[in-house]
Amino acid sequence: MTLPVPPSTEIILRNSIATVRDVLLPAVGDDEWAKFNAGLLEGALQYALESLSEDRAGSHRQHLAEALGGLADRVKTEGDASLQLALEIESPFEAASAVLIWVQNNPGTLADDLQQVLHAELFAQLDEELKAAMPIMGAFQRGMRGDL
Amino acid sequence: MNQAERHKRLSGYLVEPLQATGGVSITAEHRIAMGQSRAMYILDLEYSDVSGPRTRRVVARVEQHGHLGSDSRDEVAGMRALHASGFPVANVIAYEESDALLGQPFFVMDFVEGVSTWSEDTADEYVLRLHELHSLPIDDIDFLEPVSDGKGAALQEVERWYNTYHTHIVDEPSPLLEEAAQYLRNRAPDNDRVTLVHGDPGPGNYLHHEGRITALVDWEFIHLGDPYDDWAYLIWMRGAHALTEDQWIEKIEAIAGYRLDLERLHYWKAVNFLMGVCIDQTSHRIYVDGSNPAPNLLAIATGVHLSALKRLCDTVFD
Repeated sequence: MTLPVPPSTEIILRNSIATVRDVLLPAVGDDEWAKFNAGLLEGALQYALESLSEDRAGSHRQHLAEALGGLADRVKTEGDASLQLALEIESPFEAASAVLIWVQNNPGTLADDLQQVLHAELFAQLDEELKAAMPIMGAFQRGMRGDL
Repeated sequence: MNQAERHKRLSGYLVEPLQATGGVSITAEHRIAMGQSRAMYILDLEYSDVSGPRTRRVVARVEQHGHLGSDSRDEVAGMRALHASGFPVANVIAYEESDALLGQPFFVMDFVEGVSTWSEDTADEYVLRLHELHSLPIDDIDFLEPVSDGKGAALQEVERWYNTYHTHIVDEPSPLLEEAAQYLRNRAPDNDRVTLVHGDPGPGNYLHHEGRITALVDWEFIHLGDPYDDWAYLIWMRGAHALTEDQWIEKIEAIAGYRLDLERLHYWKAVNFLMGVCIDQTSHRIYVDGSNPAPNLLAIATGVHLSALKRLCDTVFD
């Protein structure tokens, strides 16, 4: 073993960002397409770096499953057969999709309550992902403005 | 494919459509960053035809693995029909439907002088041009999907975009998108007028030079449908940072000469946000597949897609 402690992914990404920003981006000159890509690459690496510390996909899946689980008793007593089947779907994202389509097709108090619970969880996830995507989104917006 | 190989193939390909008497030389190439669904190359050509030696600037527009859910077929057919009718659209020189030459279908059109930056001086003329597009006869148009009676204009667009999303899902569906699509299906309005629709109109998608519009561009989403589709897109998508909602509505009503039905307009606002969310999903699929590893796809698959989803939810559920 000549490298008992390899560089961490975080270090590699952090240093790659610095290289793209300080070496490659200034070197592309007036090439519009190359400059656009170099700027986006910096944003993409930053997005990857900031996603390293947490499993957001796993967390979203777990929290949505918990929200659906909290609806089970109500659906069992008040829901029709199609709604009950929706809650039995294994994937929480597919189950939530089926429940929310049911909500749109069956307006009423039960639909409103189901929507409120699922929207609270899904909008929180949406906001979290929007925040996480800010580095790559910012680079894209700057690139579209020709501001890199 | 590197630039030298691309130039070699394009040079040979262009001899026939340009009716060149010898070879065609590409003397300069500039790839532009605008336009995410296609790779866009501005090319300077030198060749001879029966009139003698000449130079010509053209634009090659190359598909990107179905990125943003469109191909060139309707775009080229629409551009050719509109150009022939005198509408300000670039002349299409050649269309290669196969991917044999450049790895993707592409077409080549004449370069049109002008810039696409926002200019309030040209806003009135632009609205007039869009209204003229909506007023063109459509009886002879046989290359676009006809609109079904009843609620066809709305339902066909909702299903078109939903199917684009659905065929590009990566791993799991988006519950909020699924719900919003159902909301729009359940509230689809009856057809009003059926016209040609640009599908992506507004600042950035028309060229102007010395205060006059020289061309409307980016026809990849041309279809038959409800003209409110275009008006809503202009107001809340491409034109949102140029003028306020009220300013656009006032301008459209004054120039088109009819009162806008605000309920219908808001329905199409939501459909346009749905469109944005759904076509952005193609970026995710193509990026994950590795068909196109460019980082702009990652940006569209994440930040752009999520921003559109947020706006869709704000429009539909609030």
